Amino acid sequence: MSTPAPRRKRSARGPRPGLDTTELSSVSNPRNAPPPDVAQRAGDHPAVASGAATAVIGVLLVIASAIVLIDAAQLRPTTEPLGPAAFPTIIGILLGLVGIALVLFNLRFVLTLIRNRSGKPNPQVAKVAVLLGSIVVYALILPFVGFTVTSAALFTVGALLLGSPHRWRLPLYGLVLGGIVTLLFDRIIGLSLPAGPWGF
Amino acid sequence: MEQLNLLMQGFEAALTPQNLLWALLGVTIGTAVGVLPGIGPALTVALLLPITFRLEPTSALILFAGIYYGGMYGGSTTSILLNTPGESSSIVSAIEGNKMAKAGRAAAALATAALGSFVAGTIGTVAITFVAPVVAEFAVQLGPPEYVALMVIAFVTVSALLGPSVLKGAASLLIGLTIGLVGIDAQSGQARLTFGSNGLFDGIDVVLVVVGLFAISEALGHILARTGRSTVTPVKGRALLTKDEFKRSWPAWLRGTALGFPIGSLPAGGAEIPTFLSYATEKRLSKHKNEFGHGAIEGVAGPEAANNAAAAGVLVPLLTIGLPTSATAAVILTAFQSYGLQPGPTLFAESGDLVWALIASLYIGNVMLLVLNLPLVKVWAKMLTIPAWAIYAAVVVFACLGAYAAGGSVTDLFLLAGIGALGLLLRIADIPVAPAVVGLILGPLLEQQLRRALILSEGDPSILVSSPLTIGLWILIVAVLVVPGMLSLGRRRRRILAASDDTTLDTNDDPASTGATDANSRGR
Repeated sequence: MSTPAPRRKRSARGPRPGLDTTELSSVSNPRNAPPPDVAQRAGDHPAVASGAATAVIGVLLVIASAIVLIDAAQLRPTTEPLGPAAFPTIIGILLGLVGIALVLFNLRFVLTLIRNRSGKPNPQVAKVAVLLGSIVVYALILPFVGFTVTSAALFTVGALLLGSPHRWRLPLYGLVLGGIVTLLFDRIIGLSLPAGPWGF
Repeated sequence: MEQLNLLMQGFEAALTPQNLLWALLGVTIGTAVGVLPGIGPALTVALLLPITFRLEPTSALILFAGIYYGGMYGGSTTSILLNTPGESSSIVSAIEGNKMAKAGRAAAALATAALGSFVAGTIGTVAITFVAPVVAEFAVQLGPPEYVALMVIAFVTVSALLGPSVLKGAASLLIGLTIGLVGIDAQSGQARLTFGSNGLFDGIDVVLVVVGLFAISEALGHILARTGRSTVTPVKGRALLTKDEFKRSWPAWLRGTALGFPIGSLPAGGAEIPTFLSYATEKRLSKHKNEFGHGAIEGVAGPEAANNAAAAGVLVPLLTIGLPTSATAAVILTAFQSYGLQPGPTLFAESGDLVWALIASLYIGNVMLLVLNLPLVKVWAKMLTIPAWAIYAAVVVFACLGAYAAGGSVTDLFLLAGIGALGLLLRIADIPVAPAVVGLILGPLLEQQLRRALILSEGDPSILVSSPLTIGLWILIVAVLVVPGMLSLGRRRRRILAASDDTTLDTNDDPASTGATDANSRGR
């Protein structure tokens, strides 16, 4: 009961500049105060992670702005007073402005991350990438293997990545889920789902 | 009184045994999915949209109305028991509701939420019955310039009032607008941002974006935070109110409804604002002020009623002007479009029987939900004992099914993975996703109206401020952006948000943190 008390005090004392300063909401929010006994990487601090992610979004917006503006410039003008390029151009400019603002306001979090990198990336990030990859693989094999089996496989992979304590029972659960979905959507509702060589 | 006749015809259509069955199915699965933690009404509706694809429009809309209201009911059960609100509008009822649950009064909290939702939903639906046709009649006169101003209001309010900062709201809105650009431009027939891919000619489906931003990113978030193994034993009890609790609840229900419906039915974003206003009102008027922060029943009853009344109110601009002002409303608009219906002033004139059947089924759905929720709340709470890994692995499968069903091609699944990754990044960055969904659906409509207005005026932009109504609307837009009154509203909302985060902390912290919460609430 006494151990977390100093932590509370720390957040009350106010943020340490450069590390956990962000918007008012995050500063006043005790959850975003740095937990010193747990955090080993700068990225473990929610304020730093949030700020750095915001900066990344800013960069993505600037890139999107360039793509949108180039694409708009390539459209053929029409006889309309406001052609097909006008609206994308406005959005493209706004994307650029907001993107630059996000990067500028959150640059210090990125710098904090770079300065304090420990060389040991979060292992969970790889798992996130694996799940995204399995959705891509799912899309590729779906037309050949059919909905039921691919869905069972996706369920199994997803459950393992999420930390399911079961191993061999998962494909069975997946098959039951895939089977029920196929029965309900394909056979009863009539949404035609891709079937494998075995017909489901 | 003409409305009553039309409503009676609607009831005739909705009360056939087959349609009653669809309504019952809708509210049941709506509640079941809405109860799952982290899954709010918008995602519930998006995930279950494929079910309705092959039905005839009336049955589909009845099923859909059930899912919408069911998702709202289920969502509040989870907020109260677990303090994991799936949408910003249920944050407030989670504050006091979860405190009550922790103090062993979960049953009373759930009962007042269910009854409050019923009262607010019913009054809200009655209000829709009388307000919507009037608004639709008025909306017929609106021209393109008025639409442009109304949509800009929706944009400004959605991005300014949601989330931690205006800049982040604007970023989210622009992401939605950019995704909305993809596809063939309807007026000139030219492809925009398609990069030569045939799969992108029709644009990116709203369902795909909602499912990616909400569902896939939720699953990825659980992987990142290693919370996949967590299970929760929900609080048990019978959903009943004592005489005293009822006496404290009913004025709060009515006040919540009175705040929720009018604000919800404004053509501006921010359906969760009435819940914050209702919480503040109840706190000010309560005779039990000291109970606030420890589980005051008025603090659940008022915001929950406001939430449901606003959910009904949101249907007014959606049905009459075609203007969705929340993520959930944006998904519902997509549903309408998939049956070939365009919500707007002409909807009441052209497909009146369908709209009235929908409104009638809202009444029926509300009654069904009360019956389902009061005695069966234990059964729904049991769903919370399903381990997180099973829920989210299944959610990923359903998300893929939804994306495939909405788009019908493998390209859509690639997009789903990409949008899911973007959603995770937005989640880490604390950027709200609702403005993106609203921007995605309203962006193309705004462009269409803007171009139409300028064709009418032969290129003269002054047409945008040509009528008194448009001038008033633009002044309002400027006011929302600059008037500090709105800012203080946002600040109050953020402070309550911070308080709700305190309550989250309590689950794994010690009494010291409760002390901190008390200090905060006294400071407020």
